[in-house]
Amino acid sequence: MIIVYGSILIALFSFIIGIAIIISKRTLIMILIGAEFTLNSVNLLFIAFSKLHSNAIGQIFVIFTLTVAAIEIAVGLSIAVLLYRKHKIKSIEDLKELKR
Amino acid sequence: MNDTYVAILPILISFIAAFTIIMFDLFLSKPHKIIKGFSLFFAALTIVPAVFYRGITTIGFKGQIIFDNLSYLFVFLIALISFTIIILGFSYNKERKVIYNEYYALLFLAQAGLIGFVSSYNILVLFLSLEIFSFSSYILTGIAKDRLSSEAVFKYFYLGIISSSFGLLGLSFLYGGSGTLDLRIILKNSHLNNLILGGLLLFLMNLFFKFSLSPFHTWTPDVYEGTTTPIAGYFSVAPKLAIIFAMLRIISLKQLSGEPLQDIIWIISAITIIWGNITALKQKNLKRLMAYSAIAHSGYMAMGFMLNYEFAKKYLLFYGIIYLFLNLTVFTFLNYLIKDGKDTVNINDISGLSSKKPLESFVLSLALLSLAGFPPTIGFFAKFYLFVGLIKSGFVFISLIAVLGTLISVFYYFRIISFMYIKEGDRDLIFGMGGKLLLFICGIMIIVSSFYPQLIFNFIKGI
Repeated sequence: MIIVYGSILIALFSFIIGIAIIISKRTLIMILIGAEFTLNSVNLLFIAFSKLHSNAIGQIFVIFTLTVAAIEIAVGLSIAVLLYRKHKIKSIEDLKELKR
Repeated sequence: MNDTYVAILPILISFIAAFTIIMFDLFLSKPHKIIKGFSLFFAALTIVPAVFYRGITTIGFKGQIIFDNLSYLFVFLIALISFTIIILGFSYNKERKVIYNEYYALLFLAQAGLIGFVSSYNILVLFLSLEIFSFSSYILTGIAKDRLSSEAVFKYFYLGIISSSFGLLGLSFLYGGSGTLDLRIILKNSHLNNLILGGLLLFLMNLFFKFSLSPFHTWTPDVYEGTTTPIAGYFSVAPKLAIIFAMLRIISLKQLSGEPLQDIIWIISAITIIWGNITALKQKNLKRLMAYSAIAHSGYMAMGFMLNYEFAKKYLLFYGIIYLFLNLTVFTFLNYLIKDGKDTVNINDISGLSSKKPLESFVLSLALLSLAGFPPTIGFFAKFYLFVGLIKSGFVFISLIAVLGTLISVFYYFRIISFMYIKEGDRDLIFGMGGKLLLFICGIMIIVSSFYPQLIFNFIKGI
């Protein structure tokens, strides 16, 4: 049982770390890494809950979440490449056109 | 009826449409004309199961997909929205040189996601279909690839991944608190434990982000201004309608009034109404103004989440459908405010338009008056019934805030009308055949439903 509660705590802690990375970092790639961090910590949480309830539904959810994370990276990287190649934007500070 | 293939027919049609369009784009030498025709055909085809199977409840995948009257009504409305947006896209994208065939495929993927989202109680299906919609909408936002839309898509993506991470955390709490993925079992207990309540709150926050309620609304004005006008119109109606339907499903399981969630929705909707209406007052860009108007209207609709199911399925749904038609009218008009490949949506660009285009200006003023809730129009009835439902349920103070917000909103809607009718200007617009037809149909619908609001109540009666 201690391993279940331990992994729930670790998962919540790494979720907070992921959110902190998204909020504090300024470059687009680091933000994507933070997003990946949050999604994977939720995966760990799902597996811990799955162990807690001793059914496999949570582990099935994780497979789908991994797929979504892959799509997220694909879309996010394509946006980052578009911003850098076409408009030479590297960090969030350059995004100031739409502010009135 | 327990037939998986009948149940998933609307989703299947949307997916087939998307993949057919992608394949045409790959293998045909001049695919654009064929894809245009096909996308219109498939949007019309999505309406067919909605009309044909209405009144029958079909269950697919052992109860994980449920198509009842509520889902089929949504399929009907979302197919109408897609049809309109595709027609609007024809002239606009040609003018702005956004000739990418993925546009139509992504619209159908977004439609498939939203249909899946309203027709399931399973949180895995809810999560996946919402993500299908989200990723399609990220790409649709940035499809013009110019400076403004790239900035808009980055802001939308950045905030969207944060909100969907929190939504996923909420779903894991829901699973952790109950051990199942079915919302019907999760919300069955009369007293929810803290883990489930927290999970539901986080999940609703994700929905409220897409619904652009006030602490989470910051992406809305930027995205509406940056992206192409048909897509802005799509964002202002389609996800909101889907979330109203999904909230109706949640309310039918668990009434939110009386829960701790009720106070949170109360505060959020009050802030949204006040903030949206006051910030809209100083906007000069019409797309940005409509974004703040959309935020304010989300606030009015969020008040309806506190009603019980009997009231919500009548008054909230009525409001949502009226809002859909009015907003599509306004965005149809804004769609043709384009010159030399650039949006000219500043408020000065429509000054003196009533002498050049009297009929179209009349339809726009009718829609704006309705959005303001001016008495003889249909928008008044929508607000009136919603406020009556709220007061009957005992929410008097928030109704007063909403009436106050409505009074503020009259100013900015009237400013647009006064620019069209009173100011002098020499700008002329070219409305294509599709735009004229859409504005004509919308105008007729607004006038007819203003005199017979009962028609729409009859339309949504079987829910």
